[in-house]
Amino acid sequence: MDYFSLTFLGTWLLGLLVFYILNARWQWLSLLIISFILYVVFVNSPPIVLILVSIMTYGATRVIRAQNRETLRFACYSRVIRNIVIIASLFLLIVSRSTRWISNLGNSYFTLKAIGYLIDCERYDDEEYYEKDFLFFVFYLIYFPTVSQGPFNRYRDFKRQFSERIRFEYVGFMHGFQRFLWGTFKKLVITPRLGEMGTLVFENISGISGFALMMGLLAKTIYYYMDFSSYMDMMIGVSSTFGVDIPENFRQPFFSKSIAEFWRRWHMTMGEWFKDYIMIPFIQSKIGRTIKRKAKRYGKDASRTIPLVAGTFLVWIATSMWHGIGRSYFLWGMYYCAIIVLSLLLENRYRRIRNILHINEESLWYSVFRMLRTCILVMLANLIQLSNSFEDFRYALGRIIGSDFFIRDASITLEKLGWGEMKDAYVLVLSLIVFFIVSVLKERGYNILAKLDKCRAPFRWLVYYVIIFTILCFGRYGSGYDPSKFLYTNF
Amino acid sequence: MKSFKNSLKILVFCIGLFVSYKLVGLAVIDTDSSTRLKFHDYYQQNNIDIAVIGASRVNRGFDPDEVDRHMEVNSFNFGSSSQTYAGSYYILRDLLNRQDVETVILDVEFSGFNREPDQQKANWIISDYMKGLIKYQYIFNVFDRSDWLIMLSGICRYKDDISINWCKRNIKAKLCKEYWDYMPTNRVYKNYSTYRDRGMCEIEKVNKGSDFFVYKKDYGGFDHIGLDEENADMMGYLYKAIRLCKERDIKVVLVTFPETDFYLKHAGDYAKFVDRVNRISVENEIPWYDLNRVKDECFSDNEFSNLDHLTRDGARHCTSVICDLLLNPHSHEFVDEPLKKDSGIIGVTYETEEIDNAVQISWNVEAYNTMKYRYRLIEYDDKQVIFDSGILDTNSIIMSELTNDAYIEIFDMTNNYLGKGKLL
Repeated sequence: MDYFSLTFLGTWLLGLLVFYILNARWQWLSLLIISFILYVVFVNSPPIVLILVSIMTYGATRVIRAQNRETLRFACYSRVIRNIVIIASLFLLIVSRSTRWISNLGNSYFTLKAIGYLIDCERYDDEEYYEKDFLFFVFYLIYFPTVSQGPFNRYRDFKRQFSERIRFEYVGFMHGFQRFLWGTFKKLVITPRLGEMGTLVFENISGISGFALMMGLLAKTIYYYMDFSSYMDMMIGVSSTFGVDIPENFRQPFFSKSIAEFWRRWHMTMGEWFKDYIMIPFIQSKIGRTIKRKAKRYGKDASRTIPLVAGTFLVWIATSMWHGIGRSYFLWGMYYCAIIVLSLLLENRYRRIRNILHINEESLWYSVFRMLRTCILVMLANLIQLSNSFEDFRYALGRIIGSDFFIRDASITLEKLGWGEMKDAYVLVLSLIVFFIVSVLKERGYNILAKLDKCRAPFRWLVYYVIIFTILCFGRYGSGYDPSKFLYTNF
Repeated sequence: MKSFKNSLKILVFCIGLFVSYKLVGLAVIDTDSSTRLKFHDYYQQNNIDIAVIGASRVNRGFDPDEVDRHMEVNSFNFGSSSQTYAGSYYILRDLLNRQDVETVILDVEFSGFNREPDQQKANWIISDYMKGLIKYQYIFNVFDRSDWLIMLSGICRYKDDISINWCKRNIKAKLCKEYWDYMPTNRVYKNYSTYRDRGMCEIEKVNKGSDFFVYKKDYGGFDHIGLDEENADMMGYLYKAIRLCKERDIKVVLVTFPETDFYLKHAGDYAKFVDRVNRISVENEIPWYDLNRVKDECFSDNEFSNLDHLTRDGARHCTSVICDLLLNPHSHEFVDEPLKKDSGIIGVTYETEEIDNAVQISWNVEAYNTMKYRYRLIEYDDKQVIFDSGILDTNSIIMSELTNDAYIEIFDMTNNYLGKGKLL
């Protein structure tokens, strides 16, 4: 979906004009129409997965709900139906990834959302988890700010917002625009420059200095974050202008003190989905309970930790498969899994060491050390993903930590980056500084938008003008650039 | 009351945005003297009889003063750098909406057929300075949606050029009174191209101190030449321009402006070009005057400021030939072969390459025939001979051996001095 196209911007603004004059039912129907139009406009092949998944899931929930929950037949039927639909949906998802003639736009997002909805529907005997109206169910799946790259919003939270007519609220509306502007700034000003740096480094990996490689790796790491989070900012902003809240997907992940925390702050809704629909069901399942029982003989801690380890392993298998099928994705997933499992298993020993060394866990320097350690581990994971082979990985790592760190090389120059002068470097550094300050403020719980609301209009507007003109003057758009491309678009 | 207040707020915000846009534009939007002055001059005219439209060769090669002298009519030069036929067509439409033009001269050049119609910088003359709705028709019809913002907004158009020096220069230029008075010479903006009158621009001679043309190979002047990949959209606009004139009973003439022999030799298959333009001329029943093939009207190398653009003197010469042909189509004969001479030096091409922290320079001396010439490479100040050769061939030398300007001197085999060319 091209979020900077006239089609998108025009439909959004036109939708806004209509939305607030409609009643509750027509409000969501108008958003369904907008979502449908945008989905159809931006897919270039038939949306077969969307059609089949929505029909199958809706049909399955109708059948499940028609059963008497108290009977044994219900338990039997509902699980069989649920599992068949889940397997069929996942099968469709895998098939769509390997064929060109089926649309890939947002497949994994709405498929997992549909699976989550189906599981909840079967799990809870509560009307809040069940949708009778097929159109609303489709609307939930293809709501345009969430359809192509998430977040994995939950049905119940989504439905609640449409229980009555959404009234226009100036503050929320303006926050939406501000958020969209901020996302656009990240996407057009910061992301492309980081991408250019990272790509050039990894295209010229042989003979390059360790320092350049490390900078490239750092650029790629921040690039992934900027690309994905800029989309989230834009879409949360767009949704806010309609008065609809969708969940946050990022919470300053580079301030995480451990890898587990990093993944609780990065693509948060995906992590929560895997936890709710893989990890917890697994631990509570017959197999999970058996593992727990058998682990008891190794102590109380083991009975708590070993099922968690097994669940983590399953979650990471799923996470790596969600990101892609292939050796590098598998290794990448197992790398994170190993770190999280090790930190789980060695938690008590770490605590003891910290006590012996009298390290205050809350001290600033220790926090900074942990943040840096997490960043390095994340960069290493990205190196695994970016390396075409083990030899490439070993070579790159050798350069970064070896004696070739500061060798003179001419492979990375401003000219080769296409950055005629130092201008792009200055723009990138200044933008990153601004971004860092904003992140620190957010991390400290400072509500920037609320503070901005309290400022006098001239100052507030000046901030908008600066962002608008920075985007216009230093953004990468027009011929030769494709701002519609987001890394996670076809996941 | 509250909604009135909010509406007022939105209005003030929009005014602020507009004012900020103008302020940022002062620093960011180019002050290009010639195209800005050209369009300002054009809108001051009210009786254009002859309009000549095309790329930079027209811009520098057609002198309206000369037309006045020969024909006593008012003419205007609409040439601009790399102008595409799409641009020419929309300029023509604007012109015909405003003026009763008698004759339109359309430039057909060797390098024009395979360009993309939506080359942005080539057409900024329209997006920056044209008035009225035709400009918007041009932008929306010719350009892809993704380029609309760039074409509509000056700030977006010049965003890639932004630097501190760029902004300083623009602000300085715009603070001069001459800028707002549309004076041809702005104290700050010193372009190598100088605006003269009624659209005509003049450029200084590039190869000063050289008796023949010396060109660096990666100059890029020949990159876009080739008729094999003719752009159908581009040609469509040429046909549309011709048709538009014919519908309004306006005389249309195709003219190819002269180029140096050096250019013609490198440009490709000229016979193919002649064949192609002849077809256009016959299909549309309009004359074509190829000034590269006018018998007895050779344009000497001295009349060119560079590879393919005329000097002011060259422009006068060229315009007088065009006037002759407009007054009497049989006043000049045309030959088949564009090259003007059969002996002597055409020029020197050279290229540089970085080798182990040194720069190697390679050059090639080209002559009209296969006769032998002697040439030598000298350093200018002390006339120290660095290289001496009895044959014309490609040779090279490591640059670090050179400390001053280097010239190539050429002699015939009886040691008669033929001329020199400045290599670096």
